[in-house]
Amino acid sequence: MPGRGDPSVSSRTLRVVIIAWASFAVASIATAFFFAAFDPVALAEAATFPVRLGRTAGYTLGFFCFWLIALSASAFSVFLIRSMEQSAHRPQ
Amino acid sequence: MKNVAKPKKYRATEDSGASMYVAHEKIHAREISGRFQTLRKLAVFVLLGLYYFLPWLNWNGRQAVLFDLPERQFHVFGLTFWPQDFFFLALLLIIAALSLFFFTALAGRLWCGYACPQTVWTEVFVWMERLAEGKRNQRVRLDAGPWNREKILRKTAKHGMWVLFALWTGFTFVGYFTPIETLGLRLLDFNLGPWEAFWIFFYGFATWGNAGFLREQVCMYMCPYARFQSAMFDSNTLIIAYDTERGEPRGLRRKAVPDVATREKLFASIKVEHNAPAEAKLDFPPPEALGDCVDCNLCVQVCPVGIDIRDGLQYECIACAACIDACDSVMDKMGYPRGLIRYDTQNGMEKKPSRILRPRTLIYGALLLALMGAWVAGVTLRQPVAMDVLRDRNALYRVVNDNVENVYTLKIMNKGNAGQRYRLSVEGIDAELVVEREAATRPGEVLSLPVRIQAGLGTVAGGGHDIAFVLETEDGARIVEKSRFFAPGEMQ
Repeated sequence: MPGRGDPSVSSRTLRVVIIAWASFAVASIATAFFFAAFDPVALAEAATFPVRLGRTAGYTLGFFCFWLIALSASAFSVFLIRSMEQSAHRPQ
Repeated sequence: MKNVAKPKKYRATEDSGASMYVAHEKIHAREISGRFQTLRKLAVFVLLGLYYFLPWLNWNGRQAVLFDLPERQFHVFGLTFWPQDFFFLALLLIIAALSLFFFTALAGRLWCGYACPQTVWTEVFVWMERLAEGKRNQRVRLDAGPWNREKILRKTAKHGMWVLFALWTGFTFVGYFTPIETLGLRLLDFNLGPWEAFWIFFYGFATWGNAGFLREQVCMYMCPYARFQSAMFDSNTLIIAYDTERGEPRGLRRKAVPDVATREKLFASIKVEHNAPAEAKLDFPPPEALGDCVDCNLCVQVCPVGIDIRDGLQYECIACAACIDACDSVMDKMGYPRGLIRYDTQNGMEKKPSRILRPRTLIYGALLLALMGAWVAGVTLRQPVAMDVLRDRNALYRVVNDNVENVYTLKIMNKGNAGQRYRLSVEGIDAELVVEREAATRPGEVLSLPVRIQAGLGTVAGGGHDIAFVLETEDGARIVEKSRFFAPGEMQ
């Protein structure tokens, strides 16, 4: 956890926190929209392999899947932007 | 302790090349009381009171506010919302965003200072910190000092309170989604479901981290609103501002020195009466040599985000008005008029008239009213039942025993709180409606009802006919859905 007068908090920690937080926010909205349209129990019944899932478990699993997807996209974007900026800063 | 200028709180890290981030040091905000801090405390009590109390309130024998995810229905007092009503939730979010714009244009960052959960919970965590670790100077000393018995005890007490409060917060949060009374009983029984336990800890952990540790960093690095709120500002927006003209040049002084306005009058009257240089007669510095700011730095010490408001408006400022209260208390002690730091508009600071009614507020306000009206109308005029008609995709018609038959599936949705039975009929054609099973629904059920329309082969003309299904409930609601009926042409 950053803070507490700890001067070792780096901009890398900050990047990780921002990536995690931005994707968390997006995942929350995506979860709300997705499960408003689809019932996780019905989805589990329609799965191509046997799935036994209660609703609360379904919502939680769905939320974390969305978070993971958003996290990957967010981290990938940051990686691309940072590597671009770093190569631009490198002396010719 | 002498009031000395606080050292710069932020310093750049080594890799300042690509980063705007500066290493963080804990801000020990000094406690202050005053008009606006009383208002903020009131906001904390009302908002957190609502948050912790609402799930325990019952309404018609059911938890009044319950977003029952396991049952897929939201109860808000007498109203019940189904997943099909998601539109209303989306509209509600848009209304919330728009009111944020409206109030920002009107009065700046009211949201940040008084209502944002981050601010409100931080406030409570800071109270607990104060309770365990004492006032600002004691806290600074404690943090700098060695880990002795007292430090361990005080820190343990603080974290104990924080953890308990955070867990209670997490428990309340889950109580909005699953009935809180049975949740509480199961908690006492140590019999929580794994996911309930998980979300209690998850939300509790988020509260603990955000309000206990991250605090103003959430506003500075994580909050999108803090970044774009300036787009809603104009020169008529209420901001917290330091009156530079009145305050500068700042400086320490004897207590007997009157404020700038009084000194201006004194110096002017002496000039008029005696036609002599004022400084010769008066023992005070002239107004242009010393402003009203006594440079006590109290406004800096009370700031929870650690800025100096005298440097002008900064995006870190969450408009908590602690500096106003601090400055007012000093002005009172000096016998100066209040308001050296105050809520004012940019126009007001420049002594120009401020306007509340202006295109920006009028447009935001009108949009807001229209959307709120639409929401209320939509919710009150909601039909308790909805119907969709799907034609059988496989065949336009089939011929059975001298009858031509079309097959449909009706999707009937019961959005009310009680079971319903329906009467179905068809209009626009002289034919018989054959309903496959009983048309009745439980609350919240979506019924898939296969129906057939049969007409004698000779009695309907070939080609397509416009028809309508009519659904009537026992309590008198009537829903009409159009469809088509096809019959074979003359040649057959």
